[in-house]
Amino acid sequence: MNFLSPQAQEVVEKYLSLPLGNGCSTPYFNNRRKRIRGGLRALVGKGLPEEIAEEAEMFSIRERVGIKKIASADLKKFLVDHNLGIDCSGFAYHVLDAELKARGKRKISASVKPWSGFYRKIKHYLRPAENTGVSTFSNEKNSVLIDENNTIPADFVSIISPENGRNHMLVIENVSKQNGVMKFTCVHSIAYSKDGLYGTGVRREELTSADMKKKFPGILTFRRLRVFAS
Amino acid sequence: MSGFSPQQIAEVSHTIGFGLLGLIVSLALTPLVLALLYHFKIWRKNGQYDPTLGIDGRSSKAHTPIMGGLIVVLSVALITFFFNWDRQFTWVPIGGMLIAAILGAFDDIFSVIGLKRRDRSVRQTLVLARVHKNIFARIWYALSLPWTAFKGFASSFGSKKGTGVHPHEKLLLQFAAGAIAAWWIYYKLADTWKEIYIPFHGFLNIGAWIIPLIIVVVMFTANAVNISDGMDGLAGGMLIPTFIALCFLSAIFGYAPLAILNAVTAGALVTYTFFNVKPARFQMGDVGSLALGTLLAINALVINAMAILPFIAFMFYVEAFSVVIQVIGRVGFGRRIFKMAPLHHHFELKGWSEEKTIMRFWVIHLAVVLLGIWVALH
Repeated sequence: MNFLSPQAQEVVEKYLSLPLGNGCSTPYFNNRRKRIRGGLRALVGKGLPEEIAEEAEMFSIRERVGIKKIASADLKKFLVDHNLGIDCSGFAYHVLDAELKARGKRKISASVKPWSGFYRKIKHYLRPAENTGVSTFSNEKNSVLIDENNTIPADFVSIISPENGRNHMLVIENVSKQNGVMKFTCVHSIAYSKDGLYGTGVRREELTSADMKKKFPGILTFRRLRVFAS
Repeated sequence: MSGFSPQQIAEVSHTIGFGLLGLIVSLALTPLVLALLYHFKIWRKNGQYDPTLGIDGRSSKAHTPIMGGLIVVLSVALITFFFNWDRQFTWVPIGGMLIAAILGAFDDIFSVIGLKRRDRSVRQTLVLARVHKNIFARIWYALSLPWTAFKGFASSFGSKKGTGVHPHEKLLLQFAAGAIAAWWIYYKLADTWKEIYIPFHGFLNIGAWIIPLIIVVVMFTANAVNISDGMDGLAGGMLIPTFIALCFLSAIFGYAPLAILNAVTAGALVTYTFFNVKPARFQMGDVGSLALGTLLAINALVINAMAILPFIAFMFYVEAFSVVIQVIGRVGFGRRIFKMAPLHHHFELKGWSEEKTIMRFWVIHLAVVLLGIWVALH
């Protein structure tokens, strides 16, 4: 298998071009700074593309903005200004969920769970997407470590930075080998500093593990969900 | 066919006459109230927050007076005071209605002339209780923490906080109105009021639990009518069959003063709705919606029709539950259950026109009210 399933690809494409007006890639939004509590998951960086589009539409109704007709760049600006977007684990959550469903496996909320704490488990039961972060995905109970050379689509790269707590994850969409070097087509939601305020978001990049190590400081591991590994 | 006795026909005629009197008095009050509202500029301001303004077909309600409900409240209070002042049956419904009307009036007036009020979150209060340079201020912040938490909890159920009365204040005052009704029903009326009539079953005695139940019912119903008052003619048009049903049931169960009170309210509502249909000459405002919701609940409780309220106030309860469900969906699961709450905005966003939404709500409500009358007679 060289690619993600069509269902998962569809989710990725919707994040890359939101189903709203002229479309634009979904911006990056991490709730760590805003600390919105008890909000809609689309407003805390964990929503599906349709949910993000719906919330954007609701804002446009309240503010009387003809969001369906504005240019893609303006649409993206509108989304960023209203804190609408997706973070890396939220994006991975929905893409991998679609992949699990396509392969007839259990849904992701049952496959990737917090490993301890009664309160955490209750919170995860009610709001699974919001309570599944990079560390949850990367826990040994939810995923297994794999060798870079054995990577297949729907595996993911986890970067844990214990120093600054800025974790990240990328979903592997395709794998190829060129001149003996593994190249990974990854999809992820990211805010590089060079992107500025309005250039962040979901993107597709072809990277080697050396590129990743350069771009993302931290402990980089290639992992596979346990439910896929079994 | 036995038909009605001449005395019964006279009673029905008497009640309908009061309904017509309510209509005429409210009609006479309308220009006066409108002139006052225009004079004091009690209208929606330009740029006032309205989350529904961008929906297709919606026009700005700026400069539309917002305390039109006063017409109904004043008509009902005046007619009852002069012609139907009955210590046992009409004092408390009118008292409860007026308390709610005063609360609603403050909300309406402050939402027009008031300044934006500052609200401190629990987190901010905790920080201030820890770091404020003045020890007394720190103690004050620590002591006021439960009140701040209550404010935060109440505001999660309320709409956007503006310049009017805030949700936690509304809840407390509605609690007071409900408590008065409960006290009156439990202590001032006979023992039968401690029982609830369950259709097809009979009476159910729940003892003193009736007191919190009455408070909850009054608060919930008042808010339900308040929530439903979001489109031109919607709440007014649905309240008419509700009060006619209450009038009918009161007459059948032998509560003549309450039958008259309900007839007057229905008559006044006819005038109100005539001027409130799209494009509205005025809006009900909280002064009307909270007052009429309170009156509806108390009148139903007094004729022992608490179990019938879900039928005769059907669409109001549906609207209120749509808000509760939306809040549960948002806070509990992070999902939007309806496109917008209350329910009438959901259908508007689905593409129904305002007129279609209102008329369908009227028709559904009327059908369920009829069902409620049938259930009440069993």
